Order: sequence, then C-alpha cells, then structure tokens
Amino acid sequence: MINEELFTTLAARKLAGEATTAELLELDGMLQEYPELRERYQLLQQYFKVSSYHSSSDTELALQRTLSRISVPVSNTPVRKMFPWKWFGVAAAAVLIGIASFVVLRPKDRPVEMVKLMERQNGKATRASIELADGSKIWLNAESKLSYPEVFDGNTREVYLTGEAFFDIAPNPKKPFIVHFNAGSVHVLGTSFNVRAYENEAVQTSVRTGKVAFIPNRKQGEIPDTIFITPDEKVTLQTTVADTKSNGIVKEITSSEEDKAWTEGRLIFRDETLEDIASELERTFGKKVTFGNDAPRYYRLTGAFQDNSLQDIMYYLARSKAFHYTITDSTLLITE
Amino acid sequence: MSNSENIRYWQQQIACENDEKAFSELFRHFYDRLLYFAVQYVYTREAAEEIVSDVFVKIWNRREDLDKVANLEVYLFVAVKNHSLNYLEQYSALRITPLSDDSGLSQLTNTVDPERTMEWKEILFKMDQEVGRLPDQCRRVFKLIKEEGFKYKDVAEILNISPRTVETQLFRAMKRLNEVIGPYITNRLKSKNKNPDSL
Repeated sequence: MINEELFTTLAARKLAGEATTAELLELDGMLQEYPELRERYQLLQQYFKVSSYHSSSDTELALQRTLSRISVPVSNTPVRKMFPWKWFGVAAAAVLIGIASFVVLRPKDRPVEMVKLMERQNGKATRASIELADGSKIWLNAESKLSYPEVFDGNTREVYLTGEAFFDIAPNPKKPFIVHFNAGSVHVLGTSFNVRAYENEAVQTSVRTGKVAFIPNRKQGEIPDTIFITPDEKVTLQTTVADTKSNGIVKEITSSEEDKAWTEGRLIFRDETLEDIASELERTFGKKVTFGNDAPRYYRLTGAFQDNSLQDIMYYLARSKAFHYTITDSTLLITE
Repeated sequence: MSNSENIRYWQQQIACENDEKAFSELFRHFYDRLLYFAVQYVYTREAAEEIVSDVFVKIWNRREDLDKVANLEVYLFVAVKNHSLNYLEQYSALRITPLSDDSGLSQLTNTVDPERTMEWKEILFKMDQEVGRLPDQCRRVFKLIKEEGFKYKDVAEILNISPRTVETQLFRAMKRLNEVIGPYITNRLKSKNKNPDSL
C-alpha cells in the first residue's frame, strides 16, 4: 500500500532542495519499490525543471525609464505616475457609457438601432462561430441570437445577445466591447469570457482571461452596481420575479474551461439537477424533453461528455441515478 | 564571480560609489523575476512594471543604507510584495484591465518519442492550469520555490509567514499536481501491461 502523504512530502522536500540525507534515502526506497511512484516523480521533476517565464524583451526599456527617474535630482515630491490615471480614464469612460446608456437611451430603445445590424440566430442543435470586423471571435450556442453591426464605428463596440455565447475579444483599450442582454450588460477591453443569458433563466457570466465589468440593469434612477469578474469567477444574476427584491447576484469560483466546454462539443454537468441537464440536452440535441414524474427532476448528477450521442449520455446518466427514459425521433421522456 | 558575489559587489558599488552601472546590472539581473512576482499580486503587466520600477528607484534613493541589507535578493522580493499590496489597496476599485494570456507552453522536453511529447505537452498544460487554480498564497509559495529556487526560510521571510506554513502550502500544491498526473500514470502502466499481448 503506497503511503501517499509520505511520498508527497518527500517529493516536495527533494524538489525544493530541503530534503535531508535520510529523507532522500527513504524517497529512493519508495521509488524502487513502486514503478507508479517512479513515473510520477519523474513527471514532477520534469515539471520543476521547466520554467514558465517568458523572457521579457522590454528589460532595457524599463531600465531606461527607471534610470531617467533617478537621474533627476531627487526632490520631495514623488514622481508622478501616469499609469493609474490612464486606466482611471478608461474605467470612468466605461462607467459613463454604462450610465449614459441607462439614463439616456433606455426609455427609447437601443442605442445603435440606426446602424444596420447583422443578425445570427441559431435554432436547437446548432452552433455557430462568428468573426467580427475587429477580429473578435464569438461562438454562439444553440437557441441563441446575436445582433452586431457590420463594422464598428464610434467609440464602442456593442452587440446584443439572447442565449449563450463565448467571446474572445480583440484587445482595443480605446473601444470598449459591450455585450447587452435583457438583464444587463458586460463591458470589456479585450478578454475572453462566456455569457449565458437565456430567457427565463438566471444570467451567468464567467471569465477565462482578463477582466470584465458586469453591469446589471436597474430601474430608472437607480445607479447600477458594477461587478468586476476576474478569471475563473462566475457571476449569476437571478432574473426571476421572486428575486427582484434582493439584488440576487452571486459571485462564485468556477472553471472557465468548463464554462466554455460547449464551444468544443463538450457537455459538462457538475452536481446539476436532471431538470437543468434536460434543458441543456433539449437545446443541444433538439429533442423536446418531458418528465413523466416529478421526482427525477431533482436528481443531482455529475458527468462530462465529448461528442457523445444523446443515447450514450442518457445511458450513462441513468446508470448513476435510477430513472428510466425513452428516446423517440423528436422527444425524450424521463420517468421514475 | 558567482551570482551572490555579483549581487554583493553591485550592492557595495551602489551604496559606496553611486555606481549607476552597477545599478543597471542589478536591474537587469532581477527585472524579469521581480516583474513575474509582482504579476502574481496585481495581475496586470503594466502595473507590475510600474511597481518594479518604483522599487528600484527607492533602492537608488536610499542607496546609502543599501550596505546594511543582508540578503538583497530576499529584500527585493519583499519590497516588490509590499509595493504590490499597496498598489492593490490604492487602486482596487478602479481596475478594468485586460490580461494578455500568452502563457505559451514551454517547448522544453527531453524526449524524442512524439507520442510522449504530445502527452508531456498536455500534462504540462494541465499542471500549469492547476497551479493557476491554486489559492493565491499557495500559488505564490509554489512559484517562489519552483521558479525562484528559494529555500523555505527565504519564502517564509518574503511572504511573512512561518516556514511550517511554507511547507504546508507546498504540500498542498504538490498534492494537487499528483492528482493531475494520476490518470496519465495509470494509462501508462496499463499500456505497458497490454503491450506484450498485442505483440
């Protein structure tokens, strides 16, 4: 029986250069005895040898900049920093744009209606990828719609989404990219992130790289809260009527890799109710799902699938929780 | 001259001779590492650049005290950490900044078997991903040891935690990495056992 704790402790000490002679011998003994540990240790050691630096070509530039700051006679006033103000400006602009679009434009209609919008709408069981004029790439999930201008003129890049999409936005700090949906909007400068805004479902945004500002819609006159989301965080905004009193916003840790799994044909369910899973399957496979009894709706299941058929997926799901199912040409029936 | 002798020499030159050349050498020697460390806190390159530059300006402005510093390497990391924390405190409400995510995979592999190379790339990617998912402090400990080769006691000093905590955090990180590579090892052993049959 392998003593995992001991192996991990000894391997950590050795790789950190902190192991005593006795510990080195003990580790050697373990590696001799178990081929599995040998392989594992070899991988860990290999990993420790790889440096994840990317060498910075800007060292000389940074040095010149720093030297210029020390050559001037040292006075009491600190050197003025330009950097934070630059971003402050951008942040302020983003917030202003946000406020402007609520205050000025909300009572009428959407701001760029005069610009000709292109539209891409997916039915059930279809996905599409769209490349925008600025080089940004968007994956549009099933039963989703995206409206976007043919070219982005003006100071912002704005699109409108119903449903789910993964955005990989070309960086352009001068033109914030804004995704509008029913319950709010998301503002970014250049990042990749997922937005899930199906009607009658909670809105979710998660970030894979960079940082985005999530601005839920508020009633007129109320200042919207801006929530910043950083990688592997997910914000859920409840939009059902019951939640309008509390603001219904939850921020949690997520795996952005999993949230964008659908763009690669993967379906990942993590402790989700069969009811939620069923609506995902309905969108993905285009079959109407009905429940014969209520009990299975609340079964919680976990599973990951890559390019599997509905038959395969149901087969595996029904093995982990006891329920029955019938698949026909256009329907999926789930019973106890 | 060894690294530490170099550092000691530059340190003295700056402190006693106002030697800008030694200052430049010191800057070049540490810039990448300190920049990378600052990014661990502030997550944006622009801010990290500003912070490292600030630290060096401060070193220069207080150069007459520099000779008293016993371990300049640790001292610089501590300074960058403190500046980063100050920065976060000051500007935390205002940041909307893109992160360029070009954490390209390192090409370094020491095997010629293409299948193994592919597998290694995948494992490397998974491990980097897992390290990225570690809690902040745990990840910093891990990187200071793996990337910087610091000893437990140096890491403890830089992060202002006990050496025991350093070891616990490193253990956590290693445990997670073990979990990542587990499935690959199982596969390897399986395919090894299978090979005789298929022959």
